[in-house]
Amino acid sequence: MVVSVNGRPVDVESGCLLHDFLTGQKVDPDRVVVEHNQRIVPQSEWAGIILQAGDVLEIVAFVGGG
Amino acid sequence: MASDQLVIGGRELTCRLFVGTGKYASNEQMGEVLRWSGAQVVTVALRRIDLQAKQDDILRRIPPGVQLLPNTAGARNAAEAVRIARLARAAGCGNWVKIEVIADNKYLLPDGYETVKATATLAAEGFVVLPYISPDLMVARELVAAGAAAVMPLGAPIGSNRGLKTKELLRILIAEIPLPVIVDAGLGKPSHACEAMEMGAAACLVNTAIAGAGDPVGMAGAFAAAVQAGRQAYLAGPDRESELARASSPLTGFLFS
Amino acid sequence: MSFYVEHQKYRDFDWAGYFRAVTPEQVEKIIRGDKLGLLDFLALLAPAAEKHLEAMAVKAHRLTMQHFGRTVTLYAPLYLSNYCINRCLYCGFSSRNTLPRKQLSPAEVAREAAIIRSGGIQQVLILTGDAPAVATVEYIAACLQVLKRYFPSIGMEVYALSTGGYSRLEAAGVDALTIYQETYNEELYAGLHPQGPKRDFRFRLAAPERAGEAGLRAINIGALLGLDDWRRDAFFTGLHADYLQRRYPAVEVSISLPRIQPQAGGFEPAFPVADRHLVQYLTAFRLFMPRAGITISTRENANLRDHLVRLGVTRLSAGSCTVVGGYGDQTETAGQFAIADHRDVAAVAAAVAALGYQPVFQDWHRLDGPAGEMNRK
Repeated sequence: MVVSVNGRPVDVESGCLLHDFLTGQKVDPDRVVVEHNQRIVPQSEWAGIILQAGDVLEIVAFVGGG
Repeated sequence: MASDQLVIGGRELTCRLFVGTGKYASNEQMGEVLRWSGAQVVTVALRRIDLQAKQDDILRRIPPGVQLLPNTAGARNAAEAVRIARLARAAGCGNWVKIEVIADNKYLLPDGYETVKATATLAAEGFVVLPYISPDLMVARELVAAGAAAVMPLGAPIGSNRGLKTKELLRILIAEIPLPVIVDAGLGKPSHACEAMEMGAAACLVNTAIAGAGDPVGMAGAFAAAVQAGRQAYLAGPDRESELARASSPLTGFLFS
Repeated sequence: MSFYVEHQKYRDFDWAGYFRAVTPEQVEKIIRGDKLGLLDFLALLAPAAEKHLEAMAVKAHRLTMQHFGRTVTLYAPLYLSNYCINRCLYCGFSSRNTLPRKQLSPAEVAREAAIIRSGGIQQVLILTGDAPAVATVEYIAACLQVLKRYFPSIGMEVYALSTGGYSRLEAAGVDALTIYQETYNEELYAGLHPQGPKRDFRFRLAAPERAGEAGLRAINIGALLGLDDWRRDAFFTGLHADYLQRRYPAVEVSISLPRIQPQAGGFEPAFPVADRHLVQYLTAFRLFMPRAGITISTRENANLRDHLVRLGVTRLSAGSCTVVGGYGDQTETAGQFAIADHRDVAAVAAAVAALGYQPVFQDWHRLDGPAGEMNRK
């Protein structure tokens, strides 16, 4: 199935947990904020969310800015 | 001078130079700049991470104890600014936010109306809100009412390095707005920042002029010194320019004739 | 929040001590500066500043030129009624005085208006005594219906009203309020106003704020000079004007400098104000509030008024009569105060022009519709 990650379609296995997806992508959990279908998901809830086809993920981090 | 503190959001600041973290050749250089500037407030932006490329974590380069001021760059309206601010707060680096709503990509001027809306929403949610604005008295008054912690008017269009082109309007904001007025954007040289501080600005925020200098670290130190000098001059109360009265009494002579 | 709170902050202020400490260097520095704080204003009212009158005048002239240009607005008073239940010791209309009491009918108002208008005046200031049961708010509203046909802009100087009263008259056609606190010295005020509704110092003090709430476009305040030490009343007038301008940024705030001249009641001012002190007050206020209007009425003589124009005055009354019905009927002479400048409107306009200024008869035309919310931030 396909989910949208930062605006791009990404193939994931059905039934995949948000936590497993993120660790599979080597995302450093301490420097990102994750929004799942427009809801901010704290790190503690990542293991409880099963991704569905069509879900929208935004994964953001701080960068330089003025 | 020791007691001259700037208090924003309950936090006492002794350094009145705020520094942006964008546009540096490397994060290492940026980290050096922060150290030399002495800045206690630094702005950062929030971006989607690139899952393909490994990125250096900017937070590692920011000295401990420095207040992060995430901006809402990229927001084109109040709703987007609010969404970015909430994401930034979820990152766990405090509840400060610089509202920056820009819907005009030609001039990059902020949208005062949307900025006021976003400020009201976020202040009600407990954010310490520092909105970036054009120096418009009416907008600034609305921001006071909306619960802003400071206002950040531009000295000249963002990134232009042109100095205090809005001086007359800044003077009015400094005189009328009961919040810290922090000059943001357009300051190209230390002398510009110094003049803003002499006028009574509470602080200056500088990014491009430092990042784009031949020696950014050296320029950071120069800005820090200029801001401090300007502040001291303001506190010392500069003498006023002389306006010579004529020796004869053409206007009041009738009283004594 | 009301101005009384600000007023009370100076209750125990050491005036004499402050004035004594003012130095010539301090005065010079204030004159050279570009923005005055309240205490800077007070310093310019000090005896020490008297030696710097010409420098203050030069600065006042320049600021007035910058903000108003070479213009002076002319207006005339129109007395509607002299019924009064107050006994203000200094006023010709006091109920203690025996003078014919009169209140104009709408037809008489129209006759007076037509005469004033034919002289060229387009801004009129309507006045009454303090007799709310006789010259009622509805009576004033009825007069406004008549006057609107003659004048594009109407001001009023009547007894202190409630916010509702000001709203009613704003809706009926009034743009501007003039109300004088007379003196800001609360104890002295009590003695000067032994009887009548005007005894209520605080109700009168808050009247300009109520007018601001009601949406009036312009508010003119003042102290009657001669009742108390002019330096203190001048300071409080500035404090009050500054307060109103901050609280109602959309209102055009201005002050008058009425100086007591002896009249029918035989009242002699306890603190006579010399010409040079009037000039000190006027120029100090101009430096303190560069954009505020300043009015000098026909209480002052022609020669003095002409000189004051260059020092910061922006409004002059002209061809004035302070007798009820006096424009049409010149047999009655008991006015509210004695007039010292007897020139007609054309002569005042010519004198203004001779000074190099343009006499302005209309700088505003009221558009119909509610003003209500306009004044609040």
